[in-house]
Amino acid sequence: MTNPRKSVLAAVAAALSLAACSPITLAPAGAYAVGGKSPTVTLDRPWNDMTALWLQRSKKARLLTLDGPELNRLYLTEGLVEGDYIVRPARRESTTPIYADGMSVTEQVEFVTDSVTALGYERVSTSGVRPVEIAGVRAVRFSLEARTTDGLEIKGIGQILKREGKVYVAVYLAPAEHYFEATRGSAEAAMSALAF
Amino acid sequence: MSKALVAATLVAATALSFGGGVSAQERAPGLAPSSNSAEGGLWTTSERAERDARRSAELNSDPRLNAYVREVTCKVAPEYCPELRVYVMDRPAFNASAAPNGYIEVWSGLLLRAASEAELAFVIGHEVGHYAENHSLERWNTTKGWLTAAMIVTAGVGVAGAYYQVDVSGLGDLVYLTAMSSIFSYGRGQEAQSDEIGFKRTVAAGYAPSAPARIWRSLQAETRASTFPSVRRREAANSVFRTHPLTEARIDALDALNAGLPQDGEEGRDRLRAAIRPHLAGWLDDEIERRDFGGVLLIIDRLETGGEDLGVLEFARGEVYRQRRDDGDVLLAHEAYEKSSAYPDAPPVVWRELGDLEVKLGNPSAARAAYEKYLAAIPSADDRWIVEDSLKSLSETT
Repeated sequence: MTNPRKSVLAAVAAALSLAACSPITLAPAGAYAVGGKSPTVTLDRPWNDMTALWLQRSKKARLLTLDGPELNRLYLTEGLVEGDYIVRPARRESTTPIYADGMSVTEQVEFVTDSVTALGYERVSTSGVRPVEIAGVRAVRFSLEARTTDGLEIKGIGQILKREGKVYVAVYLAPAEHYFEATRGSAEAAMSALAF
Repeated sequence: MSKALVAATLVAATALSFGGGVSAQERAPGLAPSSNSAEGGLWTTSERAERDARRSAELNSDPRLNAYVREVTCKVAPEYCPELRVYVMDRPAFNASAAPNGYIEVWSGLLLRAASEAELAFVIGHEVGHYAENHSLERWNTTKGWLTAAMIVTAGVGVAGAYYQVDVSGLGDLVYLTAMSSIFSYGRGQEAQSDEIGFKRTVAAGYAPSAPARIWRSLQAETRASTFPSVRRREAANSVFRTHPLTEARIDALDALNAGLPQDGEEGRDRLRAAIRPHLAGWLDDEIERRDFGGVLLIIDRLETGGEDLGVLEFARGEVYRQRRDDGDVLLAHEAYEKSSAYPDAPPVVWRELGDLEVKLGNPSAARAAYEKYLAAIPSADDRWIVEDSLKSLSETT
């Protein structure tokens, strides 16, 4: 928070942009293209694509939800390369994590974890980092825990797949109480069905 | 309630109704305003902020640390001590605030940057100055227009959100924070007055009179060292509400107050370090996450001055270089991790980081040795399979 006037104007702009477009679209069950054509994930039920409402979206990331972003979120990225980010910096200077070639697996997990923090979550931590095979590639999956600024406990799953020099990220987040388990199956099904 | 406060409340209520200005008075300890007064409204707003703080994930739950900061607060504000509630927040920015209802936040970023208890006492004394002088009430009267605009925007955002069935509470919070920042963005005159009050309270509590000017100079130096040009252009970095515009004039004024005073007050460096030591690693992690690497390096330099906690601090330095990724940073990170690993307080993960860097530097045998030390130090590490993968790759290529 730097300038009250600017912040009020930003909120006005956000409100106007809400009123000016129809930002939520249906992502029907079946193949969902994260990029232009590739990669795709297979959705086991209809999701809502609310990428347009994600104020800090990067060009290579999408945001899907089943019941609203406070109840479940599935972030998906196209292939990220050197200099890309998941969360767009608030200003030109790099205040959000940037992907770099040569990141170790640990650093890739850190990149995702720090990006979740940049989304506004607090006390983000990971556990259970494990290998999984997806699209014939050895990927990494891990559990996430975080809190919202209001203190709500959040659980999640992160996934990183590196293929032909690009990194594909998927992050599922939902309140620990009820919603994480209730929609985990659909989220994991989409993450597991990443295809090229 | 005293007659004076009743009178002030009536004046404030009239001002709220008709838009006139009021001048706030220094508060007497232990008094609360009427709920239908201007100040009562500010208390309600502050109570909401206090509730948010209590349930925040960033609330520090270390009872010793919280008791320590409260003790320092009571040293500089003995008359208000019974009515003040102090909360330490794990937030990586130089900030402290005292709300009109007596709720005080002290952020980890301040505790990390204060070189001594005397410096911490001055900043808290400065905030108590705002509290004692009712600066927020004065500010309320100058920012009502923007607060009204904020309420209208909140309503507009809410309507748009309801229409599209989208949760826009985040935007509502933004507007709420804007309103809060308007109230707590003090004017330069108020800041100068609080500096003087903070100085006097610091000295009266027996602390070194050189500490006040010194912490402002440190903040200026950190601003200049920032990685971000937009921060370097500011007068003072890292204060969320930018409530403390730092000018040479303010520092000069503190120097003038210090001139001629006996320099025999205490600093309390060891007490402060003992209180924050359990949190150093986590707080530095939080600072690094903000990616203002230039500023963090300056903080680490300062923390290293006494030659303590070098395993933790050199590891943090290595983390800064590893994540900054400028030319030459691999070597700088390697150097810092190596230094860290020589101290008993080095985190075991330093061996994994050294292993990764040795791979990048083309030193397979050193990488292998570092990875093996990591696995020996944490046999049940969550990422054991990743390190074993790396060891396997090293075996295949050498």
